Amino acid sequence: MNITLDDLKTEWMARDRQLETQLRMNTSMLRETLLEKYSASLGSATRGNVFQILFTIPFLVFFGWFIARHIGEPAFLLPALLLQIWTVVMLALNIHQRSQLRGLDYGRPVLELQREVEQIKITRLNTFKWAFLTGQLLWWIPFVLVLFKGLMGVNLYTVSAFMPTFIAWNIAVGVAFIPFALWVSKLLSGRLGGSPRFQKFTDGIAGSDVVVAREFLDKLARFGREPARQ
Amino acid sequence: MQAKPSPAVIPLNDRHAPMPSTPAERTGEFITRLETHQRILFKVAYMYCRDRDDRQDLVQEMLIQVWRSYEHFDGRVQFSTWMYRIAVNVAITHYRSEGRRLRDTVPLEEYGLDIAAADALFDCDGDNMLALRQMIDGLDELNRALILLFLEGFSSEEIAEVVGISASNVSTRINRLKTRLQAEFNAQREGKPA
Repeated sequence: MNITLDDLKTEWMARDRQLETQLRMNTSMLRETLLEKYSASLGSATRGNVFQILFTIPFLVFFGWFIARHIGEPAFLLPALLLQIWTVVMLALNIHQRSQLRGLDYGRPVLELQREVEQIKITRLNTFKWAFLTGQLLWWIPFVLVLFKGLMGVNLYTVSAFMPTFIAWNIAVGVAFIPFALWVSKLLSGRLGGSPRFQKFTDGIAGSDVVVAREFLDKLARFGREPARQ
Repeated sequence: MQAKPSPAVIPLNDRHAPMPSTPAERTGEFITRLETHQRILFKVAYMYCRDRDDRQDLVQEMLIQVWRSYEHFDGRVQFSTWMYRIAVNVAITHYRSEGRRLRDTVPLEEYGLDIAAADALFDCDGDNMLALRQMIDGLDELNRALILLFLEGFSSEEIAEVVGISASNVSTRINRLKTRLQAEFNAQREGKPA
């Protein structure tokens, strides 16, 4: 039997006509659920931002206060300043990306919207990657130094003769961890089928998801161009 | 000469329709429009999901997105065109995020929609439906959108409006898909891969 695309179209349209007569919709139930869901989804978006701001405020206040008190002491000023910048940048990026996602207009033409979705995805993936890689460095030794000095007045640089070496080594290991983590995650990327969560994490650090997103962007660009006549 | 089939979805005459003033009126207007065009959701879901549960999740996701975006609907394009755009956009996003499921606590039935009728119609056996299923399975997410709109009876210009490419690009791509489908059938008949 020979089937053409036009035969399939005829078949599809016949089924569509049947579908039109057979589909039923409970409008009152729909109205109730939509109104309920809509207010709930608006509430959850606002809650997400408010929760993150509330969680971050104590850190911002603490680091701000600490910076003001130790403005003339570079050994304490620098870690506190880096932590403050990291916290502000991450908060701003998260809120911005969340609002970008919520603001996506799905009623735009497919190629246009998909391009924007993919670009936001790439930014989010890169943010996650660098938040993790820089976070593991900043939220260990620099944070502990600032925390002890700020809350208890303890200068960890001077508590023992061994401490400056310990701090220097930890920072060096933290810095070295960045290229190491990138290398290991690239090695493990796509090989952890048994653990989807860990796989997603390693893919995120390795940048494999970014590669996939970029490939899709290329595909969208090719699709937008008229193919050469054969 | 073969008569041009009318589009499967007859658009409402709703370009530049005045916007209702109160939320209740707007909800009412949305539900009326959705009732007329609800089958768009089922057909798009059929194009992108083979698994029934997955299809239910997708229909729900599309419905929520259509509702959420409705406040931005300004009537510059017909409601059906706008709804196809949203449905296809959500379906492609869903299709590309493998492993991600909506997992909503509210079942689709509580939205007043019933997927069973659509399932019964599109999941049934038959040479043509089987051939259609095979063809869809072999297409990527973008070509599925083209084929869906072609099957719906839209012109190249109308398809171009939904997808966001030129009408001549649409025609070229549809012709290629026709040729490809033909080659696949011929190869199947002769018992070798296309």
